[in-house]
Amino acid sequence: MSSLAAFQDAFAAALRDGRPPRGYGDPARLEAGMTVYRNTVFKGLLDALRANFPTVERLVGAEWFSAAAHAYLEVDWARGPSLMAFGEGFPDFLATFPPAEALSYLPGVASLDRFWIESHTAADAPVLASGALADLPPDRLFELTLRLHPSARLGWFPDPAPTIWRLNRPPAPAPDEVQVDWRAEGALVARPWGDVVALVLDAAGFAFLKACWRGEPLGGAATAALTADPQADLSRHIAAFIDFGAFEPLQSAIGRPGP
Amino acid sequence: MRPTAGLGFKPEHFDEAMACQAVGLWFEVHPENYMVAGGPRLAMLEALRCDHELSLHGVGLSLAADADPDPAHLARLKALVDRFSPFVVSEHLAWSAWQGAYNPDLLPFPRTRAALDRIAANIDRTQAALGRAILVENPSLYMPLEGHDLDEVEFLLELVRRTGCGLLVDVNNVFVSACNLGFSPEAYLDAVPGSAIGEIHLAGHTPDGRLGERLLIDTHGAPVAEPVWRLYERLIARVGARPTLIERDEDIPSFGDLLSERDRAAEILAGGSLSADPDLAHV
Repeated sequence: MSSLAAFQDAFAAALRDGRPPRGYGDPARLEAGMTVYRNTVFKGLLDALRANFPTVERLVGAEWFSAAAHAYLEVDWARGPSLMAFGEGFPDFLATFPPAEALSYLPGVASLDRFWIESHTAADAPVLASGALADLPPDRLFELTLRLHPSARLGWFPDPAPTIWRLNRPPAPAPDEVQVDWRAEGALVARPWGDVVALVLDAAGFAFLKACWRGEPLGGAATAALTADPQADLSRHIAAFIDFGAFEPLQSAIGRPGP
Repeated sequence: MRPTAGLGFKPEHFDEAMACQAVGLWFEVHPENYMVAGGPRLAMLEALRCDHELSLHGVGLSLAADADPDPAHLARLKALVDRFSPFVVSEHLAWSAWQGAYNPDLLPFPRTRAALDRIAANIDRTQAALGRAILVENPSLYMPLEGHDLDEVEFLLELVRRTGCGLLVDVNNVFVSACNLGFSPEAYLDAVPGSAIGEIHLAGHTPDGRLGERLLIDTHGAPVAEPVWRLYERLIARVGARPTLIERDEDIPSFGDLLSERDRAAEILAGGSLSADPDLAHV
């Protein structure tokens, strides 16, 4: 191994355990500097997690969040310089983090913060206009495939994490006191026109969009929605999703250029 | 418009930055924050670029690691260079990525001849991938490592000679390193020929919480210190005007406060003879 590689191995280990690398000078003189580097690295990673999971931090407070983030750094580390990507495993980590046991909705809220980043940085694309389906004959409608917008992220949660997330996501002011119906919910997070927006979904709405995401035509998506909830008002759901900006225009959905 | 003094771009200052008419004002960003598929970040930078020169100042290439630069990262950087036509692209004489882990800091190393060979090769690769020369910035140093074969200026000038890169001289980093390691910042700066300097950085530093003024930290969290301004004036008087950036990343003040620091640099530049060393064709 080259001397430079050996130094980098030793220094990278020292960043984790805090002891200066041996053989590069008087350890006592190196220690103060090692502390500076270590503090900067940990602060950089902690700041990245805070920036990427602002709703989690608001719900649990800065001190709790910092403790959870430090515990997370025992099991994960940034892999590249684009720190927006850091913390992909944080939602799953929170699901197994003993102090979060009573906060069953927290991993869901963390997943939604991730959805936000993914949506925020996804490719730009046009949106299916309201009324675009109005002129289509009903028999064609069922064969039509609606493709989700490239910024769309879809999830189903065993608790009202989507409602809790929507109410608490900064920069909106924290709500005073909220009554939340405790039930399973879905969420659609997307960036159809500039800003990231979110929709809380019931079982039928989620099943419909999930079928669209799988590439099923409208007929199949409608069946999926009605299987989830036989009482579902399908045309109301579809109109709401189109108004929200959930889909790509038909042109690109049908005549999508090859790779 | 010839870029004079610039500011690190802060998205929270977008509206004021767009509206600002200061002559020669330019903006610098970390390209890593814009390596995304789409969305408002890129849209903001597009809008800003319409009326202002832009500099891409990388923090993630890890040129001083004993490893090739990540080709995927280079490709993303190249895409941004093609899209935004920055007037300067820069990186650091430091490492951050190692063995698949990224440490968000600019880390030191013993400046051996072997390290020089490796870093020169990494700069060559970077410049070949980007199709243009880059500037390399001197780091802030915090520990007296042993095992250097060359001092920092010798090392940097050797990189310039071998690769055709230029230097981004961070005057605050020189001041911070000089204080922490005990050398003369004037002697350091005097040893750098003006012909190698393509850009200058100015920033504020903070005394260490425990050791005070004996250990300065390059926090970018305070206004530029007076001794750093004096070093800057001395440097400009010697080498002439160079595009100069005010960096601020912590405790970010109002756009107006940053602009007045920037204006101070612009006044000093206007006093210096414009480009005493015009042979910066490679930059």
